[in-house]
Amino acid sequence: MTTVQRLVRGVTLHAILYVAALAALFPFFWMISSSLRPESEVFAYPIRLIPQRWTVANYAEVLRSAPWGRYFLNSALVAICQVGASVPIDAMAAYALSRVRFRGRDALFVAVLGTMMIPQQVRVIPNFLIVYKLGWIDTYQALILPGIADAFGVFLLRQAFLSIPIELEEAALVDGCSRLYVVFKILLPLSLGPVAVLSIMKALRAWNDFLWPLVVTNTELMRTVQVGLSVLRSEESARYGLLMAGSSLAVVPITLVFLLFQRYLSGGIQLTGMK
Amino acid sequence: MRRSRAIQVAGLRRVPTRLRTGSSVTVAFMLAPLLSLIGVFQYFSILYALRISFTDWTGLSPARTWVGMRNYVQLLTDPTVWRAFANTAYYTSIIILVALPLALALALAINHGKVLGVAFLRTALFAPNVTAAVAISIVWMWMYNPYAGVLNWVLELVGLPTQRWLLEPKLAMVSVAAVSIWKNVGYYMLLFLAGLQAIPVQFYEAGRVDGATGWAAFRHITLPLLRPTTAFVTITTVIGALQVFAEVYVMTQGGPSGSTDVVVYRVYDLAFVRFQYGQACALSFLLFAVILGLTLIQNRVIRYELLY
Repeated sequence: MTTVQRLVRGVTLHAILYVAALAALFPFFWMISSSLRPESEVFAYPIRLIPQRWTVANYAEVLRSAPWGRYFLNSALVAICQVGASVPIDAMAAYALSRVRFRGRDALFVAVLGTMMIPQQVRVIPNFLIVYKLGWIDTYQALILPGIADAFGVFLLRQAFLSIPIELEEAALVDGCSRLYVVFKILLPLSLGPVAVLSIMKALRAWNDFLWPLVVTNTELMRTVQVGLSVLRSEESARYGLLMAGSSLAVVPITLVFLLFQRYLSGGIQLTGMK
Repeated sequence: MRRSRAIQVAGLRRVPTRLRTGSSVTVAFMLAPLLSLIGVFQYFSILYALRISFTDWTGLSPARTWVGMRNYVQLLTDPTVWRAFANTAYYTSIIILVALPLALALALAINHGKVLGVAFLRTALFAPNVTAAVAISIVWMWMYNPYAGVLNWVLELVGLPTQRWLLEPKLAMVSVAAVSIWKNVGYYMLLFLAGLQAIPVQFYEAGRVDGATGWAAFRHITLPLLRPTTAFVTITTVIGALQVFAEVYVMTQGGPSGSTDVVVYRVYDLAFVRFQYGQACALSFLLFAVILGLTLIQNRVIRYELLY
């Protein structure tokens, strides 16, 4: 192919990719830009991409209108607890389902894996009823516990454990280590990649979850960020400056966390893709 | 069973795993937390939902009578339910027809050799996937605003007629789907990228010897070898699309004129607005049946593709 052809191809490729990147990033930009302008400028036409006058009044008002500090605390608590509980629970189960031989092990693994096929919506109503009967509406247990039960981590960690040479484990067991020691002091430290992927994906899912917290909380103080935002939306439906500030609060922190950890994630996503 | 060197060196006889002291207790202990959580919140849940679907429970009173298949019959003869399934199918097909080719194109572009700023591009293209559906739906709602929204402003700038987007029954579903497409293309792109990078270079080299370059290489080497990935991405996308809820809840609440009323929104409405738990569970089971069927097809297709 001639140099000109190569050049044209190169330019086209880059153009496509950068236009796509622009489209991907524009809503973020627009959200923040809209949130930083006074109400009068939000609806001004023709539209200015960069605000003429900057103000943080929208953020101030959003934070005043509802206990957003509490919302953030709740979301963070749920995310941290779910990740913190999932890793050990999934690791132990993954170990038992990979390295220990017992009758019915493979059937059990299939049964665990099978839960990945059950969509959240089928479980929402019955789980809600279970939580209701336990008197757990508007409690942290209700927000946190059901989300821990998911086979994804077990699957991921089992793959990771199976790729670690069995000699390490056997040597440890011979030396008198308990199986728990093997899991937590040997296998897990050697699987930090998959653990990171699992943690990030679970944290993301917990932070962004909407339907379950919506259904399980009634009082203002127990809402998570996403539920708080949807309440804001129904209360201030036309005040877009305010709503953009709220959305920014909901989106920006987690996006920053993602940017910090994203290099662990893209490899991991490909891991999860190819079962 | 091979004896590990460590055991040989220590002079111990290999004891079968099952009989090692305390091991079965430990194993039970290790499995207990996960199994109890899954047992309750997954398996017991769906059985409970199944049972409720056969009753007329309204959640407002404890009165519950067994009505057998009546809920299912009522749902299957309710035009709103069929409309919900049709809307969901429409939504799903838009996503498949737009998001997947786009994701593939982007993956091909990124994979194609030296691209400036690859790391930035991958991060930028994946960033939408990190946002919460609720928050980003509000942002898009604002962009779709017919009077002061950015999208209509751009249309005006280029001389095209402005649209009412989410308020227009014919456009609303497409608008909702666009948000999902924006959000997910980056993720599908990464999956396709993994599939592309798994194709050994030798295939392309061999193809070049036979004169297959560019478009021909794509059609005869890339596409066929990408089939397992494509199958996986397609079915995963479909399963995800069938469960759409947050975007509809935030942006359109099923309107205008029921044009964006999707199955999960119906379920939510039946359960938490109308308190028809029986019907809600039945509908969610119908959805579950569809998703289960598709998952089983996916497993079969992937296994078949991998036999290549």
